[in-house]
Amino acid sequence: MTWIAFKPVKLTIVAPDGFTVEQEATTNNIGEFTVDIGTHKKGNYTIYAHYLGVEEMLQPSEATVIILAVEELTETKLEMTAPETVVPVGTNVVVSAKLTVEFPPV
Amino acid sequence: MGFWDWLKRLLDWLSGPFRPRFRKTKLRLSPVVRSGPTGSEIVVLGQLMEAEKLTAIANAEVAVKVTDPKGAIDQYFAMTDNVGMFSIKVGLFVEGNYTVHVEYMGDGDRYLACEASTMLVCKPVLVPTTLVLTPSATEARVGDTVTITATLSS
Repeated sequence: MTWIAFKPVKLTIVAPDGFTVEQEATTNNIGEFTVDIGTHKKGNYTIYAHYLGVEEMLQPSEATVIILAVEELTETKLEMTAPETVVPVGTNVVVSAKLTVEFPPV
Repeated sequence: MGFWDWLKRLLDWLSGPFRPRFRKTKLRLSPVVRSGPTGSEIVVLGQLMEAEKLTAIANAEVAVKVTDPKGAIDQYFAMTDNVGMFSIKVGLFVEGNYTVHVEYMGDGDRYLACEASTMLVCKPVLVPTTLVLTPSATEARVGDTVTITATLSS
């Protein structure tokens, strides 16, 4: 395998609402580049990359990756308490439960 | 009317209805593709027909000459089938233009000669490439940033 250095790659980023951004990146000396994708809406972000190749030398290639952005979940808490944890057989025990949610500070 | 006039009229009469009528011919060359990578083979379909009525000329011999980019020549004969078709296989081994020339010599009684040429291009073999996208995560919370690393190799 040989890295293909300093070559342009076309990127198409499609947001969950269909909004599309096209940009171009260039590979570094070891054939790599990185791109940051900011997620602002929940759903699938599709990133499509396409290398055009070099006429009469290198074939084109392409790749696709999908990232799922999900809503931030708020933590909940469920607590149970019993007045006694050891009782004789035949005793009724009332168990209390409490479900709470803690919103992060604004 | 003298003897020579009489002889001339006789010859004119004889050469009228009985004169051989040569028909024009036509060669059509149709490469399946016009270019290919080094090491591949291209088939050229040929058809021999009468030029006016476009009827096939069957079982006729045609001379094939293939010239490669370096000028090397390969010559041989091919026969048309019962619908006037023949095929030529050209192996592409040298980058550049190949010329395929076909000649029909005609038939002494019926058909005139004709010829046709076509050009094929031998291209270098393309190296396949691979593009891989590796995301830092495939699932993220809304508002997070995902970094994608791409790698291009051959």
